[in-house]
Amino acid sequence: MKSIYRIMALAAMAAVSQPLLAQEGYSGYFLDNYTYRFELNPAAGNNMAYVSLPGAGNAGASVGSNLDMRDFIYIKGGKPVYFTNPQVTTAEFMSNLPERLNLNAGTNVKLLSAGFNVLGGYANISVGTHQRFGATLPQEVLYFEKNGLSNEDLEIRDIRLRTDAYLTAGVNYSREITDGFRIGATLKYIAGMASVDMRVNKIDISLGEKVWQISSNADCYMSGHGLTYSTETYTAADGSSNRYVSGVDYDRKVPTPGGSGFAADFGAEWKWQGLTVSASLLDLGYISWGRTMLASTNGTRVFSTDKYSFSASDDNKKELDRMKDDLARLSQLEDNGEVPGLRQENLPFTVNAGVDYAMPFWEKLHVSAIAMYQFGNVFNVNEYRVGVNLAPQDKFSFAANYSTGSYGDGLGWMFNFTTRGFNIFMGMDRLPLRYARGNAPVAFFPMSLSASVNAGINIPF
Amino acid sequence: MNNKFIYAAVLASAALAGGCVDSAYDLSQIDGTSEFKVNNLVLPLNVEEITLKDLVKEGEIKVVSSQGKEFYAVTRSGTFSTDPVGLNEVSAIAPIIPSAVTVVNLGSTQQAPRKGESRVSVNFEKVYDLTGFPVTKFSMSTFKLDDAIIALHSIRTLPMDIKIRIEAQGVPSAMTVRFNEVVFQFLKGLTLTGLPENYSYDAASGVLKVTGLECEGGRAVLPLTATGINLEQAGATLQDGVLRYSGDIQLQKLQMYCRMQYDPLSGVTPPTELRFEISPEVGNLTATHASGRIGYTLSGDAINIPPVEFGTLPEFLNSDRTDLRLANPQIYLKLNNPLAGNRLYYQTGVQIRSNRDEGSSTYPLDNNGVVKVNPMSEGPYYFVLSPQMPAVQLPEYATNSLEHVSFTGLSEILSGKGLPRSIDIQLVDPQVPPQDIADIDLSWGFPGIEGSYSFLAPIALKKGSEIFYGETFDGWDIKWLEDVEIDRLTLEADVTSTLPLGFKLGAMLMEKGSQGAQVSAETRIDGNAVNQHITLSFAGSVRNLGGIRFDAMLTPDSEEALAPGQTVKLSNIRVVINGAKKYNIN
Repeated sequence: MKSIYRIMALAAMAAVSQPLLAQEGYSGYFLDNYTYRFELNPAAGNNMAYVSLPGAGNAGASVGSNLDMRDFIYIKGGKPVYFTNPQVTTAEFMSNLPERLNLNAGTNVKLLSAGFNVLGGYANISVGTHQRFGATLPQEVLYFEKNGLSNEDLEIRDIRLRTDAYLTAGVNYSREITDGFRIGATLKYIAGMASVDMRVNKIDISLGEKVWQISSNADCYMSGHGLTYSTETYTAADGSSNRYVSGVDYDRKVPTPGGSGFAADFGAEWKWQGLTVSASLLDLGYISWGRTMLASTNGTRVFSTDKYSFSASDDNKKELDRMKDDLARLSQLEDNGEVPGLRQENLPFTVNAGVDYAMPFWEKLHVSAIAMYQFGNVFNVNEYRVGVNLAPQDKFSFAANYSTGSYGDGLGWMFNFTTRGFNIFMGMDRLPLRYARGNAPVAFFPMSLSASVNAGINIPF
Repeated sequence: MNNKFIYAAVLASAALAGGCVDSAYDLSQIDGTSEFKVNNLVLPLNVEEITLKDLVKEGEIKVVSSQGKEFYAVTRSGTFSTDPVGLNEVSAIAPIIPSAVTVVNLGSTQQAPRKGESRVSVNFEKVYDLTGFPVTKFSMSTFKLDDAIIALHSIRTLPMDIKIRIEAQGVPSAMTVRFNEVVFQFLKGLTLTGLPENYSYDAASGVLKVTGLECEGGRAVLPLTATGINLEQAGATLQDGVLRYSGDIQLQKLQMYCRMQYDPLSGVTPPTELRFEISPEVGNLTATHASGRIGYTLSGDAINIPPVEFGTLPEFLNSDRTDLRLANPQIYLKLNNPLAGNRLYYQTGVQIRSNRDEGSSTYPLDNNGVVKVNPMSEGPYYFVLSPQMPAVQLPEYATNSLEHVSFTGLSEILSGKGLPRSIDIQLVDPQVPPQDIADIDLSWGFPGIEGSYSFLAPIALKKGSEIFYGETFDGWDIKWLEDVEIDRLTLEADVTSTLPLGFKLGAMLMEKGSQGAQVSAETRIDGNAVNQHITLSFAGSVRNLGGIRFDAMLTPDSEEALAPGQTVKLSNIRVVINGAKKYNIN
């Protein structure tokens, strides 16, 4: 599936080539003096005004996946073996594997941010870049790899890869409206730079005893100024030819936004004695892309062995070539050109809810619990986090937490130091909890493919 | 407060570092053994109906159409001819025959005058019966006769002048001499024409009698004309190609009448003795017709039929293990008989020879039979030489007069280890066999016997035939096949065939290397099978497949000829594979 795979590979590379991370910093959700709490809950304000160090106020990368090393490496006879080992049964492997193989990755870079008290509340203005990549595949893509070939039918549905890059410029305002109850909102303008949404709607493989049939149906939407599909000519053995999408061309020297949109965050926070209850709704919005190119199989393509008949009278090269050509066309996307009108893409939105409680015996020690749900991405994500926040001094705070959810278990932590004129923080939301022994020079390997990090330097005043 | 912070930090660090390393997952010890399985996978395969004409490329094997049927056959056609046939002339140069000379005593010729005669005139008159003349040997030899002439009984010749001179020397001019009767023992067997009435000749005895032969001065000539010789009567012999005609010539009896009126006193008296000289002359002999017996050996470069080469036969017929016994191969001959005008016939034996590197084998007609034309008609004559009279004949030979000559050995012409390098169709001892001729014109001749032939060997096999076809596909160096272990490979299909051949089909999976294991399977497909279910099942496992060999042994289920329209149809094909590719992921 040359064409489909090329597009998928390009999309992956576009995302992974960026410094990793997406929405991160949950370890600082309830951490005192963490400057960017407003990004997790717009109702959160700061004690001091600040301005970020340009390009370094808050930068982060994240990768999250529900895949775990134990999905692919098993212990048999006391020794680790790959899932392809004969001792690992297909049933064991498939039952162990998540039904869908999900991967998210992204980066956030705050180009500039500033916060200050205004109108009885606190306001933030910020400009940042965001790149994200999401992929989801059904577990069936690995079925034949483990089970081998047999006369079975396999339906592979909804392989999806999506990558977006956009700039945001947002204004946040929050204020306490009653004693202990604070609300806030952020309004963001979004300038879309590029988007690729690859949808392999289905790959059906039917290895019957009388006929083998493979059908494919895929579409790929690509938005952004200057982005076009590059094509190559496929010449079949019978001399017929067709053009198919072989890659992506970009003809702009300076990146220009190709889409625009708006998004809003809403949040509320209620404090009562040592208890803080927090909830927020983030990224309710869309990007409308002005120029979208579509590559597609234009319906379902079918390869069926009953179309071919071999003869004893010749070397069957012609028939084999015909079979090879039809197999090649199965994965070739045609360049349908520009999609009429605008393509509107909803942003994945996030729902956060948390509670924090200051210990009565030491009010600088807090325990907290946070639930996060993200919808609208290529797959939905949830994460539950419990932890402790410790602020032994006004200038210094630290958080440690345990998380579980769509990406498995993990540990989180954040360190924050704030003094007038200088703020630095660094944290990780999903530090893998389990490790395997490795070979020197890498002594340990994380078992899960989930991690995030963010850090920043700001100037409070 | 400080202590609590330290406790919390230690707890967090311990959780992070120590307790989360799962020593069971030691990636330095990971076992990379892996396999990709093929689980009794049925490969769907559509194979078009196999028509024989798609397999057989016409070369030495051709499609022959006859009487609405098409079939495959090895064919070869051509013509042949003999050198011209005729007889050289039969001739001989006149021999020189010596004269026979003898003196005959007439006894006393003095005679007293009879009463009334004057003393000066005496009339002498006397008849002598003379015998005892010498014998003259006669011998005439022809130039060397044609080898075809075995015997000559008689010939007709151009007029051959014969003269016999009888001269009685010493006869006085006053004496009147007349040969009242001359009896010669002359050459036997002559056909003398134009004999005067006073001549008689007995060819059987050779006795020539002449009466009342006038002779002047004692000289007489017997002119004879011979236009033929009965060589049997003549006792002629034919030896070493030369006809010898000989005999004795002898004046056996001469009755001579003498009368002389003489004066005894004149001193001229009748002689008391005469010297006789008998001089026979026989002219040149040129025969125009002959009766007897002749026989020819027919020859000539054009009588040799070019060999049938088998260099372009399909490969499947060329295996050393192929042994073909043809059901009813045929050699057709079309012959004329230019000798019929002389009521002669000719005949030839036919044999076929197969030439192999290890030697040749020759197969003659049954009972060393021959192909023989009728002396009564010029033809054409049609023959088919074959084990049985073919039901379907080549159109150009299919006439009512087609004569079958049994040739059982023709079936074996291709039999042996593989096909012969070539076969020769040979005419054996073509000849005009010895046969009598009756007064044939010796000037005849004809351009030679002309014939055409067609060798037609329908690929129709008889019991005992085997066609072996083997093909090995080896030397595979396919990376993907390395470490592939095939536990089971089965081919099933339903076969419908109109081929008159049954197949014993074998296949062998071969591991790489000469020491590798080989797993074979075998099945049988009947000739004219109808939905016959076959299974080719390989038992045993093969690893590192390096090649596959197919062997097919075809044996006849009937004696029907292979034909281009014959088909083999495989349906419901199921190729079942079970195995795995073993590899190490490390």
